[in-house]
Amino acid sequence: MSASYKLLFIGEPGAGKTTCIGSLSDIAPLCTDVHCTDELAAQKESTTVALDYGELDLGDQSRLLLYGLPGQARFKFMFDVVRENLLGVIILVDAASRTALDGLGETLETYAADVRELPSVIALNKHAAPSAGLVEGCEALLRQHGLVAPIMAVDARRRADLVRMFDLLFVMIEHGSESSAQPEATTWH
Amino acid sequence: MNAVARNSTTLRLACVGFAAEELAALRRLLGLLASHLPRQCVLVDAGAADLVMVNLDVAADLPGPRGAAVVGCSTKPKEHPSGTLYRPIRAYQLLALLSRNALRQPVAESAGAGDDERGTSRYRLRLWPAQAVGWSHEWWMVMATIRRAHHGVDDIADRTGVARDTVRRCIAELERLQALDREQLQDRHAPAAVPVARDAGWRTLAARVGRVLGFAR
Repeated sequence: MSASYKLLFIGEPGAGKTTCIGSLSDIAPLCTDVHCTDELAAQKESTTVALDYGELDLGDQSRLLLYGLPGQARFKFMFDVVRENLLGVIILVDAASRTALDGLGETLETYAADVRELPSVIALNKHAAPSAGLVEGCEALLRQHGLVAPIMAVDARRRADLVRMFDLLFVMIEHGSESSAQPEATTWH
Repeated sequence: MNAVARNSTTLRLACVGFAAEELAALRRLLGLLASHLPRQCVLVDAGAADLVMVNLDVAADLPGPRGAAVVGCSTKPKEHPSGTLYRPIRAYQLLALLSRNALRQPVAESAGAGDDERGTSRYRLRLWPAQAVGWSHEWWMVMATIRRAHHGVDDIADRTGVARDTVRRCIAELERLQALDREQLQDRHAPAAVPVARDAGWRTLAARVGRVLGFAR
């Protein structure tokens, strides 16, 4: 019998979801990227339209399933696919974008109610030293949406950064759950 | 520097690793900004400060939190953690920094500071301060425990296995950063913390992920 645990990456287009999953996954990530035909074409060649998927083998026949969902409201229905037994959420922000706060705002507008009770980390990607103004803007959005989550700068291409982020997220998972709760896993016979 | 007694109207600022001419310039800036600050601000020695500015161009690292807020300054702030100020200090950054810290209540003056000993205060995290990303695992454990629910110091210590003194220091720092909601129990004889048998499931899962990715548990 094998057990699977789920983690979710969400964020605006170009925030780095596909890159994160690609950096961590043991298997070739499954992506639903298509060529951009709208204003995003100026930023990147392709974008995720449904979900990204990768896996991390934990040994003992258990796996960490890594899902990536776009932050836009029109993709919200995809959350139902991953909602059950979700351990935690990483909310990615393109910190190099001039509209970074707008992107985070839309992501939180769409998902805050679903992820408020889950351990979550806000990952500021693509900028080694995000400005104090951006960090304060993120803090204000978190307060506005009733989320309590750490904000950290990461480079989604660097596994070491992702490991540091996972370290913090798993402290939150381990110590932020009620004592009676068990890590629920999807089991496969 | 003159000794300045703790006074709720005074914000005590210390500078570590700054040259004499920079300190003189800072004093002049403080004079210019005085009428724009919510509290009087004075320069003191590092040990007695509410806020410490560290010149990262000569100091290798920021000191850990020991009761005073710490902010780094550098001629190349982008090469340091988020929040590092420019050096030489720029007036607008200094004004923002001092205004933010002047509005914070010193720990010793916060309501009911002695209530921890009586076990009548319970805390819940209101925000995760930006600087906490660099704090220790033990402090993260404390913060994770109070992210969703109010808990007292004893309860947090029992749930996490972190020493009570460490929990108190973390709580004090979080209070100073205004990152906590404090719940005061009406009954002065607060119930003892219920012993918590931590389920090994989460720990096992975290250890397993840590082993695969390479972070220690």
